[in-house]
Amino acid sequence: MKKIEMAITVEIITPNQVICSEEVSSLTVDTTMGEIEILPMHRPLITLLEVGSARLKLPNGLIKTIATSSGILKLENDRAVLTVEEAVNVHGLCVASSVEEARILAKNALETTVMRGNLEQNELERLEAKVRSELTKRLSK
Amino acid sequence: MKGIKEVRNRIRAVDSASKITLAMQLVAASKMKRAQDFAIGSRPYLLRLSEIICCLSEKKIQKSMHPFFLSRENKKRCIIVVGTDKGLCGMLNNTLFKSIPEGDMSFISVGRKAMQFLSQSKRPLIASFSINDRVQYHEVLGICEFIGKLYLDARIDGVEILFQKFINTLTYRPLLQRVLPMDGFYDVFNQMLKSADLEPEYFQRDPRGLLFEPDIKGIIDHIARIFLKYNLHQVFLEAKASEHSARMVAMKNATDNAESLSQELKLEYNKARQYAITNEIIELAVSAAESS
Repeated sequence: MKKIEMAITVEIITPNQVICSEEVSSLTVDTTMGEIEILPMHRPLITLLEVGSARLKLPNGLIKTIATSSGILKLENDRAVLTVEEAVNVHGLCVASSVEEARILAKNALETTVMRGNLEQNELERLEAKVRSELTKRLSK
Repeated sequence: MKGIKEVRNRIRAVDSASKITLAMQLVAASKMKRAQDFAIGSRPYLLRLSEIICCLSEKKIQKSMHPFFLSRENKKRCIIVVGTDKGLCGMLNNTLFKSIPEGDMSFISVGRKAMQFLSQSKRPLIASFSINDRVQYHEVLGICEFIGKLYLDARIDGVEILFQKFINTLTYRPLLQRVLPMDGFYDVFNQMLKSADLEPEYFQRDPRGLLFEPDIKGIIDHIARIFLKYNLHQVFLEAKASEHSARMVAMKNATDNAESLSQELKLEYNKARQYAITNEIIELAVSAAESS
């Protein structure tokens, strides 16, 4: 039997920008009534959100967390729209990964500088040799 | 033909004016980019809020739940006119002020130019606000609270806002939009939703019916508070985007004009110089001929 893949499209929108728009297999949010988990084929719903976080379970099993302020969630036809005043992608704020990234950047920068230094040295030697040979040619004439 | 010195002074004056307008053009261009990004970036939020209001309106349940949704006989109209603080932005303010409707109504101005126009034309101005380029929330909140209070005290029966809607860098259109009460413009919302380039299945309604948590009243209270604020915020962002675009275009035209004027003057200057040299040579030749 063919497997039917079901997903919810989640959009998190703030007055400044669209924070995320993606397909997830489940969505967990904090509402004024408590925490709810939304799965595909959920009944249409409009609910008030509390300050908290939205946990998005991606199809590959990873969980993406987005911190949100209060707002409204509208769910209809497996399309969830969270209109909130503020939202921060906690996933993007992973300190360990940014530190690692900074380290790799620094390492790359050092390596390229050293390489450029070598190249310049080689170029200098080549030019000096050329000058020397030209000089000997002139003197020998 | 004018004297050389006079033409030289004019060239200098035109060149310095063109430098100033070029600098202003560059400043306006950078502000324009930012204002346009903000105006366009915040449209989806308002669109989604409108969509929720549309869902509520389908139920016809909100009417008595919040005074902002309750329609009244619009006897005492109030219009918020959103102008600019500074000039040098072409015909932007003039076209806006021409769209002010006639009749018995009170006015609230936003921006110095709107205040000057309304006071000079002896219209009943009840308050004057100013919004800076960043369009901060506390400024918007002040206006919201002011009109909300007037509306709840029944000192006004309806609020409309007149502003220049941003379409693109060269186009902006004066638009009179209803702000309060939020009852009569669901059609406008529907049009907005349809023009927002969304797929048709987006509008399909689920037959199972909407569930409201915790209750409809809570949602309506929240929506009424939020929507008024962000509706005005969006209007001010659009007005700022139009202002900076208009200023950039006006300054670009001024710079182009100054450059062409400078070219003409330089030609005139060179002609005058050449004329003087030719005269001198003739004089020399004549005196040489006479002496020989």
